[in-house]
Amino acid sequence: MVMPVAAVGSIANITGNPEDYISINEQGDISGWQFTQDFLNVNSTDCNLTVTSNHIGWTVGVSDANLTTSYPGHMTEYDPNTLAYVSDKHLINAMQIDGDNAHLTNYTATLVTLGHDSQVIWKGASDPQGIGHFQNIPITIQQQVDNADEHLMGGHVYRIVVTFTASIL
Amino acid sequence: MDGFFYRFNVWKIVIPTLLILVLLYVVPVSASDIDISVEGPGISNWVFTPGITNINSTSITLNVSSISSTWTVSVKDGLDFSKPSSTVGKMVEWDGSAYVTPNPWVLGKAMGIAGPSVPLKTTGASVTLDGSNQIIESGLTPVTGLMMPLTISQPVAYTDPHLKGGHQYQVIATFIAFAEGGPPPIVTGIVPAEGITGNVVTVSNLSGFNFLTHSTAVLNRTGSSNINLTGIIVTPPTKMTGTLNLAGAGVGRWDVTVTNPDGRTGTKPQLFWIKYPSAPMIGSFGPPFSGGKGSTMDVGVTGQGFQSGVAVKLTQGASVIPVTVTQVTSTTIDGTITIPSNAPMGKWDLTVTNNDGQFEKINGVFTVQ
Repeated sequence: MVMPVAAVGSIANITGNPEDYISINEQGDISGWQFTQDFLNVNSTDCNLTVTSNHIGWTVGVSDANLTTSYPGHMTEYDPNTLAYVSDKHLINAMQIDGDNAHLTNYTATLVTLGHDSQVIWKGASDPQGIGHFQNIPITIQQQVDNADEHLMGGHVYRIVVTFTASIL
Repeated sequence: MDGFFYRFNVWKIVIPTLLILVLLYVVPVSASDIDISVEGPGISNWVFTPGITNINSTSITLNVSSISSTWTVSVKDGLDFSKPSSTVGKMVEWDGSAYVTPNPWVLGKAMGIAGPSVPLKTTGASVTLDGSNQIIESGLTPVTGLMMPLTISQPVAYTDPHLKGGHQYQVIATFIAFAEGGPPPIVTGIVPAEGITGNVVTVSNLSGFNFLTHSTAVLNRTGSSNINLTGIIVTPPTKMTGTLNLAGAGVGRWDVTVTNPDGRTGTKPQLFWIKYPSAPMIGSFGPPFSGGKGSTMDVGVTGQGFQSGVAVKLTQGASVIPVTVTQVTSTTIDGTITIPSNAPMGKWDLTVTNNDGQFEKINGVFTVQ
């Protein structure tokens, strides 16, 4: 006797969407940088940034967000022992920050003169190339030091804290 | 004697009764003998976390009832709503009423679906969704209302973009339950039974027995990738139609295999012939006369449609002189032959056979003297 196979069916409709996601992770500090006077001091090896985004259209902004100093964007006298800014003494020129432009299909970088307001330093591509995990993007720090910039005494240093902020468009 | 007749008459009653009972027991299963439904809240607007495999084990539950002791539940991406075949198994951008065209976003990895094991009742399995029926539950006993929560897993990478404008990724998983126990498919024929390599062939009738609505078919042979019959329409239990794309297909004879959703297969060997566009055509053969017996001589064939791998032979009755082919172009074949010491005198026939099996035979082109 031939026994046929019985078959019945049903379906499940599944929908979903990844949550909007962007993250940045800055790695590296610069300590004890010995500036050369009357010279554009450049460090492009100690700091890098990792950006991860699944959102087409993103930016990374950079700023000096410290409100306790009077000259945003300028390195200001700091006492490492008291962990405090001790005067308004600051370098004449504001710090400049530049980004790596080696992966133009993924993002573009802009040279930024640091200020209190956030300025876009990286912009993700507005197509599928602009999403994903971009690891260890080099950051170039430039500090023009003038002959009139005063050498600090007593273990004091010039200091600035740079803040990176990621946004989706 | 009374006792003998008594026992005889009893068995005359008992045996037919047992036969009737057996026949009743093996009555064919029908669709009503197994039932399946998808229950639970379902999964809508699943908010994926990028960078991980997202898991949902609570929202989709299979409810299966089967009076058959052996049954299966399979799942596949049925490509409903004209979902592109290139996205099979994967979630695709859906605008709320249709899949986005022409360039929808597609999640990079296919969805995983796993069925649970229920001791003594069913054995679960984990599969990656694709276009074929893959078994996620293999029943061990008849069941009634067996609830089986499925585990749905969806890997999401950072390169899978967040969709805007209210769009979602979507896939429709089709579950099919089978009560097994039936025979495997049997392939008896295919129309047409041949096709030209590189062409697309419309199969008007793949015939046989025990085909099911969700049966699939392929051309297959050892050492070659399968050629799928696509666009399949099954007329259970004896007919199947579809399309064979022979682009890049190797020439020669191919087996035809039908697979039922329960995994049972039926194969008819060397049923389908993939050929070159034309058979070889012999124009001339030379020289027309042999040297002495035991001698080796160069020979040549002119004509058309010769292919690399061509085989050439001279025959007279059961006697064969093979030609060792040394060079082939589409119009010439060069080779050598050795005249056997016992070769019969007289006229010999020439046969040229391409490696797809097409051949031409010309009688009396060569004389052994």
